[in-house]
Amino acid sequence: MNPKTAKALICLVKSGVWLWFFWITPTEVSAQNTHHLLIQSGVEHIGSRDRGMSPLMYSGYGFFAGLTWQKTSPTQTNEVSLNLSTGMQYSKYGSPIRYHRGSIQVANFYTRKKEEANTVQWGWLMNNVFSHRLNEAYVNFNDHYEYFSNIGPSARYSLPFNLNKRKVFLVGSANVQLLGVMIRPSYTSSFPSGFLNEQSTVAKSLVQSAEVIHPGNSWNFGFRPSFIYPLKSGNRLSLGYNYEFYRLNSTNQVTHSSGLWYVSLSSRL
Amino acid sequence: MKRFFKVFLCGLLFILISCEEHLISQDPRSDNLSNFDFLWEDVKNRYSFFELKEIDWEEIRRKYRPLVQHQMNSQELFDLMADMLYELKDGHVNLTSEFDRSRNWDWYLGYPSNFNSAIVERNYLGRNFRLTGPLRNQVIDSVLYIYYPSFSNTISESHLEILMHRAAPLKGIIIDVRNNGGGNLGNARKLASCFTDQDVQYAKERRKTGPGPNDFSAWQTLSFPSREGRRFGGKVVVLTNRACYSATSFFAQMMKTLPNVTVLGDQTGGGGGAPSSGELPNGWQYRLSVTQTVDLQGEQIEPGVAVDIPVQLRDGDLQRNRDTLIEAALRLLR
Repeated sequence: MNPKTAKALICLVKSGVWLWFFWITPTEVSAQNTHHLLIQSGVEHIGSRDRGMSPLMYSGYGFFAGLTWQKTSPTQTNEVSLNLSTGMQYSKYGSPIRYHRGSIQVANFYTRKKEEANTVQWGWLMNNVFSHRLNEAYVNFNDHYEYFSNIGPSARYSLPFNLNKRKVFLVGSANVQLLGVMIRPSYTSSFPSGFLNEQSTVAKSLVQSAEVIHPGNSWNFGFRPSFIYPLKSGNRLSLGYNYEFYRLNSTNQVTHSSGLWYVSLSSRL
Repeated sequence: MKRFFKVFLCGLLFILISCEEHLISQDPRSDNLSNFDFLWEDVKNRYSFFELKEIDWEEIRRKYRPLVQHQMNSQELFDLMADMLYELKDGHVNLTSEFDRSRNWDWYLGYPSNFNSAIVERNYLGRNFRLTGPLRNQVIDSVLYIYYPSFSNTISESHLEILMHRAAPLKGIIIDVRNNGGGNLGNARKLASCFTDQDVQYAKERRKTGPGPNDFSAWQTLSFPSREGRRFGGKVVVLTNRACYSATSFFAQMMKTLPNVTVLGDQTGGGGGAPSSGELPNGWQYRLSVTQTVDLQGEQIEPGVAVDIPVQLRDGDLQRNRDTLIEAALRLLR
């Protein structure tokens, strides 16, 4: 990819983040805003195939922990999530790889009606993922990874109903990422291709390593149903499932599919 | 509504749990021919020394592929693939299964050993040698003799500090890396950094960046830094033989570029390509060289690093329990 194009794309993504922080967020400050901090923990089942390491699929289980800050106003919901997971995956022949994954997701949902429930909220979600796999049986270049940052539309639906004389919610959301950038290892090593050029700075190498994500060359989508049980204290307890799929077509294609079951405790700030 | 919710939740659980991996396409076919073709193809795409070694990989395919039979058992298929990989004449190429590991060790088995560990241990290191980390060392005639058996064994800064302190009042240092088959290049850089007061460029490297025969990155300079702690500015002799491979060849090349160092003995076995691993559809793993390294004159170090002073172990010395190479090094340093 042309380095200038990559640089422009990175600037565009960065601008989006800053815009979100400094322009969109302050307009929503009002007395009706509520802020929640969610602590999440759970177990995920993961399957992935990194053709830079093996033609085989590796699958397994891992542990997940996450933290989400959520702001809800009458017309908008903002979320910023930090997610971390780690675990082991195995091929069908029992070869192990260890994986670590971290992501930061930024989401905004909007609605015209001043009701939180029973309405579809449309918005967008920005997904920033770093996933690392280590195959200790390999001597050199035994770690592979992908970093990508992409953005796309998202929708959320909240269905309230009564359970044991308490109003509870069934919430489902889905997202598809369409545009972004990714960085993958080069053809035969763990280093991104930009780092194979001599006398280049780290920043330049990163830009030279970036590849564009667009519909047709890569996929990333997810959905997450959850059941929310409000507590008398104003906090919320929820049980949720988070499915994520991505396929990145770089020098070596990587495909990832994971389902996460989690319990979340939400504290009103 | 309660009933709807329960049915919905149970349905969701049933549908979603553990189905994540089913959304990824099936693993590739794993019959004998598929595994053979996968290995041949990946070597064709990623191996870095076809041109240097004048190997016609298409011809190799024509030779071996007709021998692949559907009814071959695992051992027979393994042996056939191992024979094919043997043609690469590369110590960094292996095929590994649960029952065997193929290899080509001709880079040292076809040459004189020029090393006798019993003589070194009994007549030079003696009973009272020091074992500073992985580095066996002894003072012989005001010269510090160091034997380093494998670059896989980690050297720490404190090990080097102790050795440099011990060597400071002496006439010189002999670093014996004979029969050292390589290991971690970081240890080689660390050891070489003791003998220079500036950053030193010692070689250039390029790696395969695509499946085409000429898909290589630009040449990148390889260098090692000067050590921050105590260093040795006196004369140094490095002893090598054909059983020096991979990181040890790189170490010999590093030391050769230093003005106060002499490399003595037989040339190293080579191993100038960094190996990268892969996996076959049947789960066997393999590795192959994916880089090229040349010295500052542009000569590939895959065939080995030449010495400054060639010395062979003489039979007469062996009979007197003498190591010809150590004796020659001592004469240089006295």
